[in-house]
Amino acid sequence: MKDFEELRALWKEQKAPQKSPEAMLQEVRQDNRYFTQKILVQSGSVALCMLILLSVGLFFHFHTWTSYIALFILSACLLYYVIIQIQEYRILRKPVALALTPSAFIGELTRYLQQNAHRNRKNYRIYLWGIASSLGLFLIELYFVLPLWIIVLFLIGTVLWLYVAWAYILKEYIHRRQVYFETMIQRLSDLQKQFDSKP
Amino acid sequence: MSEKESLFKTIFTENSGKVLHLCLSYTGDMDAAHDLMQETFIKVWKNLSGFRNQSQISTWIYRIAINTCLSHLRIEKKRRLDPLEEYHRENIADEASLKEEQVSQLYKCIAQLEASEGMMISMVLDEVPYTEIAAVFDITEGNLRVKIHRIKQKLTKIYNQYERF
Repeated sequence: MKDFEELRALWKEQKAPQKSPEAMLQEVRQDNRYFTQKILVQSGSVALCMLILLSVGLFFHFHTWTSYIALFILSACLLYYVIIQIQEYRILRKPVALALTPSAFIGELTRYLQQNAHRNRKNYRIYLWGIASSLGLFLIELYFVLPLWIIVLFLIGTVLWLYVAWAYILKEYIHRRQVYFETMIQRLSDLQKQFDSKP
Repeated sequence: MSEKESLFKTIFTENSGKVLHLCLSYTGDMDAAHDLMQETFIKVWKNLSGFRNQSQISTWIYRIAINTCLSHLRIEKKRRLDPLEEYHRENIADEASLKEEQVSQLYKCIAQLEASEGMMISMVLDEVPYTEIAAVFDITEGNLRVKIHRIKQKLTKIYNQYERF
């Protein structure tokens, strides 16, 4: 049987492996590089896709103006994606919440999770509608240049994809995210009670 | 070396041990604790210029460490102690000294406490002044003393329960 003072003596015996300040500084620099590179790669990939779309718009001759609108909508979706990624990055790196009291921090984290859940649902719908409307508009172009059976196949494929994306992926995705966020929020709420100032 | 780097090194040398203990009390796992400590000091580095001397720098660092731990809810937390597994492990691990085993067991017992309790007791064990712990958790010193008294009893009870095996 040990009393608390013996536990304290035991605690003092510990020799936790320590990192040197130099090694830590090295980690800090690597972390900075990692995030900068991540943002650069994401922005670069999207910029490349937009460039390809722009080239298609400039160098291919479309029969109908609706195809140009389809390209514009796709580009807008890509641009929106980059903006969302940068916003996310800025929220995650925001220093303001760092030194809040634990209780206030849990409140902030809960609010962030709730907003994130809402944003995710909204964005998924925006991407889905954007891609669906682009494909729909492009179908008008195909009507003038391709045999009917290919158009029918394209139409069936698009409708099927939309059905799967809407009825299965979206619902499943929303459900999973909802379960995830609810679990997180519940755990945060439990933690909040622990950090309440009552004795 | 820049002034910021030199300040950071001093801060790291003075606080990293206690921060690691705090993270270890939360996770009960050395690798995860190292990751959280690293993340804490990355945040400290990035926000060092924004630190306004409204509180002690150690209080500021403790809060960052606690909030970093709290935001990692997904980390596999509080591995339940299986007495039989512990018994076998202790008998197999010849190379580990008895003291190290006991310290490791102490951490596992701390991880059985509530998150806030584990963090508070690790600061008490590291002899952080009560005024500072109260400031970190934003509670009164009187309130803290009541809590600490209860946590000490709880921890001793858990530790002695597992030491019997």
